[in-house]
Amino acid sequence: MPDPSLLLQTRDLQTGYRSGSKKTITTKGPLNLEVRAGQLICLLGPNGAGKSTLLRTLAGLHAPLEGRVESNGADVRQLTPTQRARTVSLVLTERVGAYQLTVYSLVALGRYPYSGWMGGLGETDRTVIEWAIEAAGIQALRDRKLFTLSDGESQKVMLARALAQDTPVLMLDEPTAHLDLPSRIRLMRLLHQLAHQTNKGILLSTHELELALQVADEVWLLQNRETLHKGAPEDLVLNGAFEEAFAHEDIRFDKQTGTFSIQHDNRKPVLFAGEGPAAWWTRRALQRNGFFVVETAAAGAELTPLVRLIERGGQPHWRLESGAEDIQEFDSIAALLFVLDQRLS
Amino acid sequence: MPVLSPKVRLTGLLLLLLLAFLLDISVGSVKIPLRDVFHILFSSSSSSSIEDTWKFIVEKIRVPKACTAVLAGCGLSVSGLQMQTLFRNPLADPSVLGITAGASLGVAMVMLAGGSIATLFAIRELGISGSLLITVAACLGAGLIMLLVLLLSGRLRDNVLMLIIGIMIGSITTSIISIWQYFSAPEEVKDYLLWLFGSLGGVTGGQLLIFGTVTILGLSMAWLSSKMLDALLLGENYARSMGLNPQRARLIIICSSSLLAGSITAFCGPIGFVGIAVPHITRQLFRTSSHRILVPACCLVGTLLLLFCDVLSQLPGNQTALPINIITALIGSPVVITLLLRQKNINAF
Repeated sequence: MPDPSLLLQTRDLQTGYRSGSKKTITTKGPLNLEVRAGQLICLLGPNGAGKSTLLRTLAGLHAPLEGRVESNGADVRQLTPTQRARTVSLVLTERVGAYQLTVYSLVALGRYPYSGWMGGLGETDRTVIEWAIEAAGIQALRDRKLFTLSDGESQKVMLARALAQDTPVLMLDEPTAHLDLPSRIRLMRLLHQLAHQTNKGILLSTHELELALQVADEVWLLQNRETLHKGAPEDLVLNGAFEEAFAHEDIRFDKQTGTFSIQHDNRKPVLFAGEGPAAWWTRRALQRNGFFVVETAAAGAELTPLVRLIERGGQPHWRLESGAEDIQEFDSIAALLFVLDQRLS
Repeated sequence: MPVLSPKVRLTGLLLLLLLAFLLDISVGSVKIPLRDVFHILFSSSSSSSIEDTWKFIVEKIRVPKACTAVLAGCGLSVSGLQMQTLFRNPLADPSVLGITAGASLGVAMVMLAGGSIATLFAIRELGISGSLLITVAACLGAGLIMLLVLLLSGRLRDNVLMLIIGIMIGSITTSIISIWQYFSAPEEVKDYLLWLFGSLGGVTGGQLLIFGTVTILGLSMAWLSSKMLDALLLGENYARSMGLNPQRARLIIICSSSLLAGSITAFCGPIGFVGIAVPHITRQLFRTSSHRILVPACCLVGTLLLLFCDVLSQLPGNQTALPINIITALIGSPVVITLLLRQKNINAF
């Protein structure tokens, strides 16, 4: 009895390319992965870790080196193109060329595996297209030509096309790649909602680690060609999988916040006293410029120089105390950094 | 530009086409008054006021020639459209990718290898079986080259590389023909060179029937493949993810394009330019990428262009008409340049 919520399953999968007798392994595995209904899965990994190949293999467009991908117990490679297109829909990174096509016609192309020889649309097709346009939130774009769309708009249109394909599984290859931050967040939230409301299994590859941690129900983390960690994002943070995957001598993963930061060469000590948002940004600016920030509470008062955050007329000001006589005041971080830099280098 | 529905535009074009057809029939080296042309065309009773030669000229020369222009215009344009979509390249057309050269090779093999009997005029005198031979040879040549181009395209992802390879194959084919010519008798070569200039005349009776059948077959295949062509607009990966069988789609598109380009090249010579220009003009006129509209629209625009070019080729003198190839490029190039300059996106499909 197959589990109805289990949409896609891999058995001892190994992905890669075969040309002649030569095999190039991209992910060694053996991978035993599952895509379940109502789940948003984020596939993360450094550049060149084999994310795209894995997606294409899972979608049945690319032959695996070993093992197989199953949908309802059937090997996806054995399905007819139409059956496969009714199981998995894709949003790819490549830009489409059909500039003179309207948004509506593009979304309507999603009905390809259902429409007849000439691509005529029936009542059901039209209903699904309308639903897809609404779900992707592109009602305002429906009569626009593709070449007039921005990157963010065009990504949503491609999503609508995939939704119109009406498949249980939806895969997106780096959907946030060319988008600005607000569009990225909106798209991720939309995908999260779609997974939960429509009960689709959504799998997307992305570099947006911080966003992925917030929306993913499950994370697949490709560390390198050998290993794939999977689990709830929080588990992967706590067991150190993230740190291991992205480990690099000058990049640090902060378990507290789930963010990466650049490791600066903090050698020159500076005392700092201050509170509030301005203090947080001051500390950051000092660290960025290679200073080792010592909080006043933690050190003896003799150490100089001391940067003190004060307030003048509701605006933050910075006082640099390098001795009893030597006190300077600044109204911007830039001015403070300029003088500090000259003194200490 | 006022926004008219595709149906209105198609109807408008159809009317224009009818006019162009009549105009094409009424001009020529022998002046025949328009009234008499109508009379010959539309009345069955043979009135004594019309000379027999006029009747002969209109029925046996001008009408078949106009029909040939219609068939060639449809075929070349649709074949060009298919190539541009399949290769996702706005510069693609049957001649650029070596398909026309392949057809020429087929024709050259029949014309030059068959010795003096197999010259073009001899073949035309042979009637149906002879023209069938040359059509089959041209279609096979076209199909063979196209298959080669496509086999190579399977190994390449880059469309520009594909185009370069197509052009290279075309050059190889052309030089094979040149070698052949070099070792052939001058009379045979002359026939072949005349054929290279392109001509809409001389296709009559049974030949026109064969030409028409093959073209309609190719056009129907193109029309039936319009859903596939639409999917291919998004690139092969998207097309496959939507359930397109790429091998089958390629085969249908190649077959259709080879039938069209092959038969036209066999009967009219390698007519350049229409295949590349008409799809662009049509996309601009109809502002769509949907092949269900583009295929019939390309037929209309292509036919209109070729009829118009044929009329122009008659104008210069009383006795001689310019080869059609010269006119198509002279007229077509400025049209395409103007259209492309007017639009922002040069990569427009």
